[in-house]
Amino acid sequence: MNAKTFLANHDNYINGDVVTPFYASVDTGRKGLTSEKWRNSVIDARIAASNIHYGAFVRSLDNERNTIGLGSSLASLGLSGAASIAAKETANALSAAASGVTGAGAAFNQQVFAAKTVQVLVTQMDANRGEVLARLIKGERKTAQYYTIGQALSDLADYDAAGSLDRALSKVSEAATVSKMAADAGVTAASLAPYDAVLIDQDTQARKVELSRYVKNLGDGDLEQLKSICRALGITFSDAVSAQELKNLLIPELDKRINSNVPVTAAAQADTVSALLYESTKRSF
Amino acid sequence: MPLQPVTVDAGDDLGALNAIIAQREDVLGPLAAVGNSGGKTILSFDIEPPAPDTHAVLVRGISPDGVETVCTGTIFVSGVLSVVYALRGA
Repeated sequence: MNAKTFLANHDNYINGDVVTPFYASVDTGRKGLTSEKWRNSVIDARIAASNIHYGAFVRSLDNERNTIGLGSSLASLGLSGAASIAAKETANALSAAASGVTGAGAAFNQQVFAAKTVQVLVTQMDANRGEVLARLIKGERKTAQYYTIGQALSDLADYDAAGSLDRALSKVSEAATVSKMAADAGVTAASLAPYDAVLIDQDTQARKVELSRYVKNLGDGDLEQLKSICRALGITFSDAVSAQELKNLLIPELDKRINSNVPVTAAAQADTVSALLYESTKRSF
Repeated sequence: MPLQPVTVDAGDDLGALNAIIAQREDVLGPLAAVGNSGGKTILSFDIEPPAPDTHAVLVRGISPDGVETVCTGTIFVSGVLSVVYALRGA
């Protein structure tokens, strides 16, 4: 079945009123489907339709990156620092940048840069869509009461938006900002990358707080001990690193390593960290 | 001011978010910024200062007088994007 036929066959799920049938009191109002099956049919059809449009969009980007239009605008954006451009302003910036390229000699390098930039943006768009898709699939497993058609439509709209250049640029810029912050602070980018935070049990939290306070209370005179702790945790650093910079690496690392909402697991993680640090601290946490 | 961002599940309610903030402030340092990205809430903590004496608390609605507003932003509260204020000493 080609894309046109698919879209035509599923038009009632894609363009029709899908809300009223969802709330119909009997299945006959939904072509014999339960509320859940109706909702999931809508989700599946709209995901497929979105994928068709997204595929065409990515192919067009791939074609356009070989032309001076998109290629130059993306190159100018990147070279002028995409990190400073907010998502809302991106469309204007793209348009403005498209007219800003000068010199035939610079064009080739910009084309190469643009090709890479498009690749990065498409990868980011894929990742953004993947995140929303996971949410939709999770929603499909829920009952109609806990994942309504309204929530599904909202997530579907987000799925479409996740495939936009605006959002990809914004996300890439965010990552660039985090990297810049890391560079400013003299620490590696990886140490300031976001990670999932969960609520841990009080006993393990108390141990983690004790560990954090211990590290934060170390000063310039404890540089060698801080280096030893970092080595024990496999954290790399430069020779000219300061005590504060090492603490900035260590504190998030401790938080990441003891981070489970299952008490037994969190306690085991704390045991592991405590054992790793014993040689450097001569104490248990 | 090196900030450490952490992501939190979009489905968490204010109570869960505030509990996570309290735990992270004790370990990382004071809350400095809140926002959202990629369908998740992002909380950023300043990792250099010591843990604050009182924890920041997220509230919806307007910022009350006489309370220090740490930051404001749009985050997910129980799955819905909401404007919140982080207050300290409320």
